[in-house]
This record gives sequence, C-alpha cells and structure tokens, in this order.
Amino acid sequence: MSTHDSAGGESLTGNTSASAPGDTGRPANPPSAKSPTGPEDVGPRADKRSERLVATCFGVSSLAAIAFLVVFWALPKTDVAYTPLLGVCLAVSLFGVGVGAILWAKKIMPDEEAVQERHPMYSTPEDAAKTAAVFAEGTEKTGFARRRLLRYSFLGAMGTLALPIVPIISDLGVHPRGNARQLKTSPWKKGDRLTTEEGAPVRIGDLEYGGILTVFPNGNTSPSNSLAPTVLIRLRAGENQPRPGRETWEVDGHVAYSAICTHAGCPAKLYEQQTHHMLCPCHQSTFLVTEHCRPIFGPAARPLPQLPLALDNEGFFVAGAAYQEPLGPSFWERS
Amino acid sequence: MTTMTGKAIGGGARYVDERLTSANFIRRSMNKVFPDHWSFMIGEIALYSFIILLLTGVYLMLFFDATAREVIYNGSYVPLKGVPMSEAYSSTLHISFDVRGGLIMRQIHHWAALLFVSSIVVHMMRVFFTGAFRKPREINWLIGVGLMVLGLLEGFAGYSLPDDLLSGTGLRIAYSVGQSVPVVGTWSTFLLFGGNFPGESIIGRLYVVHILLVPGILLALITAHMMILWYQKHTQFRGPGRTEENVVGSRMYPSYAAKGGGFFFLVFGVVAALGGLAQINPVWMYGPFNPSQVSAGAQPDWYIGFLEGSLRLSPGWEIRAFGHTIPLNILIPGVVLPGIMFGLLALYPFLEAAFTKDKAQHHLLDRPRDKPVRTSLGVMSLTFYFVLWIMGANDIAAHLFRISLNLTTYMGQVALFLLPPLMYAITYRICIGLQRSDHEVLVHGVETGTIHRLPSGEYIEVHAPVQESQLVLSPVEPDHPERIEGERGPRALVSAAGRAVGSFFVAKKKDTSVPADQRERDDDTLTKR
Amino acid sequence: MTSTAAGFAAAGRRRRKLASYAVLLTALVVLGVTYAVLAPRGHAASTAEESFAVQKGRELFQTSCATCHGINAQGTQEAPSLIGVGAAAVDFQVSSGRMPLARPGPQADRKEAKYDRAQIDQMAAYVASLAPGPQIPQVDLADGDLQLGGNLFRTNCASCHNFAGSGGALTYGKYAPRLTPATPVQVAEAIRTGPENMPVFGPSTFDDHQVNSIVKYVDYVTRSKNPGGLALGKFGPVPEGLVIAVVGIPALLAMTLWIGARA
Repeated sequence: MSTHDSAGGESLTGNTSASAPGDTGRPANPPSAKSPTGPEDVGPRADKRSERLVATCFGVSSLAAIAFLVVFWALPKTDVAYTPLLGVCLAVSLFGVGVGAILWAKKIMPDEEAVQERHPMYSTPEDAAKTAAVFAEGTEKTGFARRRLLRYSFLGAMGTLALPIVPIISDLGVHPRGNARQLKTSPWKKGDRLTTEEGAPVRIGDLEYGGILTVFPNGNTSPSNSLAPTVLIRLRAGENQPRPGRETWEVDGHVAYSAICTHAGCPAKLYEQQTHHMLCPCHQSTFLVTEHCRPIFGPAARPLPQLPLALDNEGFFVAGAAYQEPLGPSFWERS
Repeated sequence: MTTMTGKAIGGGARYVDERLTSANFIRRSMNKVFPDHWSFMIGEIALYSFIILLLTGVYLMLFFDATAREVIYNGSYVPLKGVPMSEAYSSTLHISFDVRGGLIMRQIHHWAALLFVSSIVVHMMRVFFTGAFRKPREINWLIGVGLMVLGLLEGFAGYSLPDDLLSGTGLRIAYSVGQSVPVVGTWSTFLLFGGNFPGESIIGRLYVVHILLVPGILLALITAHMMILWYQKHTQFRGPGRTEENVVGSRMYPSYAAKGGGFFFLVFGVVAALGGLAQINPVWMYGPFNPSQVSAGAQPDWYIGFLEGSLRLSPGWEIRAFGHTIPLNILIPGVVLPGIMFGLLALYPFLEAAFTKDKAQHHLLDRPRDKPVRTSLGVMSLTFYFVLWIMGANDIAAHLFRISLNLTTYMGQVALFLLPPLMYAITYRICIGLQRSDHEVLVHGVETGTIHRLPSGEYIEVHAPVQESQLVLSPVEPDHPERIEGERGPRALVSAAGRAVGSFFVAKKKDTSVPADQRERDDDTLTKR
Repeated sequence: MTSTAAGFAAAGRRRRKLASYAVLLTALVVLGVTYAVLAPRGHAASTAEESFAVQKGRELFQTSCATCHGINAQGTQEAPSLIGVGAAAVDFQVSSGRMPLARPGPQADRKEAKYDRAQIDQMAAYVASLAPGPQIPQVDLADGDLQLGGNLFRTNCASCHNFAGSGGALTYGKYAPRLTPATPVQVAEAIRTGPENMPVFGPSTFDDHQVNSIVKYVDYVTRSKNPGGLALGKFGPVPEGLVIAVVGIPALLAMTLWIGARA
C-alpha cells in the first residue's frame, strides 16, 4: 500500500485497490520517517507472529463474550460474584477488541508519518468584502433600516412573544407571594405532642441523662414536613444556661431544638453528650446545646431555633408554643 | 479475495456517491492527519465515556421510574422489605437486585459518569498548559467550558435521581444554595421544586433534565466541538518538520481509526472492569430519603466536592438588614465563588490575549516551561481548586488519619489563601530552572557519557554539540518577541538530542525533513472561491 | 333413655376429674408464685460466688483502674465516677480494650482487650455492686427485625457512625468509631450506656426489641457481602472519586501513552 504516495489520496477506489493480493499491508520499503526498530519487527516470520498475536486478542474477546453469557444465565443473580464476574468477562471481551485493534495498527499497518498542510484560518479581504456586500445588498432589499414602522413592530412582536413564557413557567411552583409565608410557618403548633418516629408520645423519664431523641409533631413524620424534625435532649440539672426570657422553655432539664441546620438545611444532630456539641455532618457547623444552641464553629450564622417545652395533663411533652422564628436555612424574605 | 472486496466497496461507494457526491469528502476525511501524541487522546476518553453513558443510560431508563409516589418495597433486598419509599428509590433497588445485569449497568453508568467529568478536567488541563486554547481555538475552549459545567449539572441530576438518603441530602443543600440568592432565590427554588423542599416534583423534573435536556445540549455541543476541531485541525507539539502551516501524524484511515476505535474499547473495558469490581453508590445501604435522617460523611460525587469544600470553609457570615436576609455563608461559597471560577476559566483565552497583546494564530503548542506565567497561573488556580476539593472530604480525612476535624478546617482556610501564591512562585522558579537547563544544553552541547582525563589530571565529560536537526525553536513568533518577563526569546532552544523532541514523555527521534512526495496536500476548498 | 342417662353420668365423672386437675394445677401455681415471692433471692452458693467475683473485681479495679477513677470508684479529676454506670459500661469499656486507657487524648481508642472474660466479669460485678446500673444486655439477634433496625439505625446512629457503620469524625479530635469490630453485645452496651460522648438510649427510649433490631442491622450492614464488588471502605463518594483519580485516569493515560508510542 503506497501510503506516502500523494496519488494514493487522489481517489477513494484507488486507495483500496492499491493493496495487492497477498500483501499484508506492510510496505516493502519502510519510509524514512520510521524509526529504526528491533529485528523482531521485520521479516515475514515476525509479521506472521504479529498477525497471530492480534488474532489471539480477538479470539480471547470472543471467548470472554461467551463467558459473559454463561455467567449471565448460569449463575444466580443473588450470587455475590455475579456482578464482578460479569464485569470481568465484559472487560476482557472489550480489552480483547481494543488491544487487538491497536496492535493491528501498531504492528501490521505501516508506521506512516503523514504531513498535511493547513488551510489559512481567515478569508481573503476580497472574499470578506464580497460577503459583506451581499449581506448589505440583502438587508437593503428588506428595507429593515429604512422602514421604521416595520422594524419596531417586528421587534415589538418578538418581544411580546416572550411574555407568555412567564405565566406558563409560574405554574411550576406555588404562587410567589406564598413562598415566604410557607417557609416562615412553624410546623409545630402550641400543644403538639412530641412523638417518636413510630408515633409514640414522649414523657419524662423516657430519656436518660445524655439521651437524645428525634421527635415529630403529633406523629407527623411525613417527608413533606421537612422542617419539622426536632431533637429532644435531656441535660443534667444545672447544665442548661437558657437565654434570658427562655427560662421556662425547658422541662426538668429537657430541651428541644430544631434538627434542621440553619446553614444549609441538613439534620444537625450529631450530639456529643459530654461536650454538648451538636455537629452537622454536611458542613460541620457546631452548636452548643447548653447555650441555646449557639453556633461555635463552622459556617452556620444563627443558633438552632428552640422549641418551648411543656407537659400536658397526661404528663407527655408538648410544644409550649410554636417555634418563634423561621426554621432551616436563611432566605431573602426571612427577616 | 481482495479485488472482490474492492469491487464490493467500489459498488457501494458508487451507490452512495451518486446520491451524496461523497467521494471527495470521504477521501479528505480518510486522509486527515492526526498528531500521534498521547495527550491528544484524553479528550477522546470523555467522548467515549459519553457514548458509554448514552448506551447504559438508555438501558437504565427502561427500568427506572422517576416518581415520588410512595410505595412499599417488596423486592429481594431483605433489610428494606416492607419499608415505605418513593417509586424512584424502589425501582433503583429493583434494577440493582432483581434485574439480571442491572447492577453492573448501574455501576458502569456511574463510573462512566465519574470518568466523563474527570477526563474533561484532565483534557482541559492539557489544553490549558500547552496553550491550545489560543487563537483560533477560543470558541472551542468556550464550548469545552460549557461541556464541563453541563457535565457537572448532568452528574448532579443523575446522582439525585435514585432518591436515596445521600442524594436527598444533596438536594437539600442545593435547595438552600438556591434559596440564598437575594431577591429571586426563594421564588426560583419554589419554581424548580414546585414548592417547599422536598415536594413531589423534583425527581420527575430532574429526570427530564438528566435524560433529555442536558444530554441533548451535551450532544449538540460535543458535535460542534468536534466539527470545529475537524475544521481547524489539531494543534501539534513542536518538532522536526512541524510548522504553523502543517500537521504531522497518522492519517485518519487506517491507522488513526484503528487506534482511536481500539481506544474506545479500552475505555469501555476500564469502565466495565470498575463497574464489576468496585461497588459504587450502594443506594441500598443509604436507605430511602427522609428529611430527619442523615449519614456521617455525607458527600457529593467528586466533581461537586469543591463546592462542598467551599461551603465548609466559609465563615458564619450573614447580613440581616432592611427586613431581608442575605446568607453570605452560602451565597459566597455556593454561588459567587463558582461563578467567578468558571467565569475566569471561560475568559482566560481572551484575558491572556489581551495582556500579551498576542493576536496571532497558533497551531504549534507551547511547552509549559516556556510560558512560565501561564503555567504558574494554571498551577495556582488548580491549587485553589484542589484545596477546596480536599476540604470537601475533610471529615473522611480527619477520621481516617485521626486529625481534629476543626484543625483540618483551620488548615484549609489558611491553605486556601497561602498555597496558591506559594505554588505560583514555586512553579515559576521550576519553569525558569528548566529553561536554564535547556540553555545549558544549547551552549555546552549534549552529555556524551565519555570521560576524558586532561593532562592536568582533571576529568571532564565530552559534550557533543547539538545538531540543528535536534533543535526546536521556541514558541515565540519572530514578529512577536517576548513580551512577558520570563517568556522565551526567539533564539531559545526547546529541546535537544536524546531528550524528548516534540514530546514530553515518549522520546522520539525523527528526521527533520519529510520528503515533499510524502506530503498530503489538503485540497479543502472551503476557504477558496 | 338409659343409654342417655349413662352417658350423662360418664360425662359428669369426666367433669369432676377435670375439675380436680384444675384445682391441683391452681394450687401448684399458687405455691410456686408464693415461693418465688417469698423465697430469698438466689441461693447461698451463688451469693458466695458473686461476692467472690466482687472481691476479685475490687482487687483488679484497685490495681489498674483506681489511679484514675479513685480508690472507691468515686471519680477524680482525670476520670469520671463509676458509681452507677453498671456492669454494661465496664464490660463495654474493658472488653473493647478502651480501658485501661493507653494515653490521654480526646477519646479512648479500641484496642486488644487487656483482661480475659473472667476478669472482666469480676470487674463488672464489683462496679455493679457499688450502685444499681445497666446490666450487660442479653442480645437476641433472632428477636431483631432488620427493617425496623435499619430505620432506627438511620435515624439515630448513622448521623455519627455513617450509613454502614464505618464511623465518622466528630468535633475536636473525637470520632464515632467504626462498628465492624464491635460484637453485638458491645453494640447493645454502647446504646444502653452511652460511652464517652455517645448519647444514652435507655430502656424507656428503646425497648429490648428495638435494641435487638438495631444490633441485628449493624451486624448485617457491617458483615454482609457486597454485591457490587469491592466496598471501598463504605465511605460513600469520596473513595469512589479517589478510585477514578488514582486507578481509572492513570490506567487510561498509560494506555494513551502506549497507543501514542511509536513501535
């Protein structure tokens, strides 16, 4: 195959028929651009060896593909080796084709060094001028520049066509005016019982000292109520240092705080019962439980909101009042 | 045999040609020359990963049900039997445990996604450090930046689809980031999620984004990227016989087609091996999403890690004034910083052209050492990125290496501002040092390994002068002498004998001149009249 | 008629027989309950064994624990009081090798246990004799419910110990340890006693069935086989990203080098 002959590139069929029968594609005279290579790389024996090597690769690929089918049907899909074996068979099958093709290119096809001229990456000035003239002529014929009425009414029509998009998009979500109200509404009302995930109400004595429990309002564990999760923590006597005005928000050492981090909204409830640190695993904001959950480390700017606690007449914990501030991360309309 | 094949092809070709007049185009395409350098194949990894993603993605679509409707799981995975969960999560478990070969398809898809973004980043690094983005290739650089950003978006959407605990945590953070934008934040997140987090709509909407919208744009941009590449031709490293006016390498057909085609199977093979042997995103262990649950070490996939890191490093700043709240602790690390980073990345070719006043076209690549300012800027930016990236995993690192979590944060905050300028200075010095050693070779010749003893008893090593054929001129156009301090002058030497000529890993030695009859004339007439 | 009368008579005899059985049974039950209520707790031999264990436990305590916890386990500046922590806390701390402490630090690390089973039981008996506290829990994995355990684990444990019990970092050098080496009993003890900074989940927070379920889930998630190949430490996306960075990309770059190299 005369790869370095410029005539070889002249026509599609000429290139193909250049391969004489029996010719493996290796040119008799390697071009000078080729680097001199080891003796194993030349001669008909080496050529046969290369051919066998490439064919072996393709053969291995076929075998692995069949092995894939065998594993796929013969092994139960619950077997722990099922997926790994499928992966190995598929990978070997793919590697076989890939390595074979590349070895084919490297060992059997001529190692050519082709040179191609670049065409200039700009048009001649005459060319550009001609194009500009054609465009100007066309524009002139439309009268776009002269006819102000047409121009403005056309642009106006294009502009008003964009308007219907806004009401169409607006139904993707709830009405914007309601947004802030939704985010500001406390999911806990006064008198809501603190219930566990299973819906059981919690009473004094259910938590040991240093205990923590995730609680929900009146058994509402629905994921749609995503700001509701709250943690109930039992501190030892005298550990809590309530904020002025919040002295009555604790009940017998029990305090309750929103579990939703004020930074980015992950549940921040990695509670350390000796240091009273409450860590958020997402961005490591740390809150100090004994000091009204004020942030002591990390990106959070605000304390976790506190839920005032009280007991109902059956002795169960209830919300003494709704949350006094919006829960979760900050937003524009928050305050 | 061969003639029969030839006839058959000839017949087929004639059939096509008489309908599309394609012979000329096909011939030019087959004769198109591709440089052989390995680093030109990194972009191909991204292309092939994308193809693998399309193939496996279509398969997964046949089984996945992207709805938030609650169902009771009743599949093979025992610990979740009878547990209420979304249809999306349930169908992901179904693919993983009850569809033959479903798990390996899921895993191949996810590994290919990680590889897709990784190879885009490595490809971009190659393009950046060799100056391949310069005129006339700025448009392709912009498309490339767009592809990367869309790749991140596509990956994040896919990561969120199974509605497991980890992806739900990620969406919760994304919601908060959206909320943090002043004025429009709350509105736009409510539009996107259809209301308060999590809502019923987001999985279905992300599904449309993940399987239709973004892949469609990606496909269009990849097509444009490659058409422009095809039209402009590859850049190439400096070397004997390589000029701004030519491309030296293998032709498309047969050599490059075999190598590139074979490489597709290698990429697929690597991803298949990973998909079978390394477990990825085991959603069954994460559990269904529940806003009251979270796992320690809640992390995104690696390409979002830098955002996680920047959020973690942020100080607790927040502005509350005039009845409004601006959470700077999310807005800056989650919106402003990535905006600046991607903005600078996209604008870099134009900034460099403006600062160096370089308006020339470039088809020969720079070696990184020859452009110390650019190289140092690149290393500096990468350092900044890597600090953020590592800080996205600081809790895992703190746990595994028993360092205080808080200490890692402090270290990260310092490193973010200290390391990048330091790395700039170090890289600059290394570039200059390498330039000096090049100069040394030019002036004193190449070490031959032959030791002579002088009459005085002194030992010297014989240096052979550098052959003209072993020289490559520096990447400065004669009419544009150096303008940045430290940039190479026109007479500087790039590389010399025995050391890689025109390549930076594989030593090559070639004749300088390619005989005229071996040149392939490009008869592309697009620019001619 | 006669046959019917005879039938009634036979039935009457059977009823009387049954009634006498019932009386006997009731008497036995009453007797048993009365004995159980009135009889002294434990008999003499086991009390002696217990006091022997307490005695040996005190000796062990005074040689290896008293320097920090005080001569009467009342606590010192260095270490907390052990009065009322119960046998469960002692068994957890000593059997997991955390106590005796190797060196002071933010948190005690798990090590090879320094004492054998009998010695640990003796120390536990001594500490339990000081004041009532949680007993070593009886774990019954068969009683556990995997689905309930999984949900409880994700709500209460995964936030620190990670979704698969691989552990995680806490503040200032503290950490939630990996649960793989922990025995089911140790997991239950940790839940019940709240070692160091771990919160306490007492019997009124989680009943025994709930604890059994959590322990069963921990056992499952830390020991179950991974259907998708190597588990990569079960840390989530971070090791996955590392695999792409140190295996995937380098492997493919090596292949490009091979393809790009001239023969």
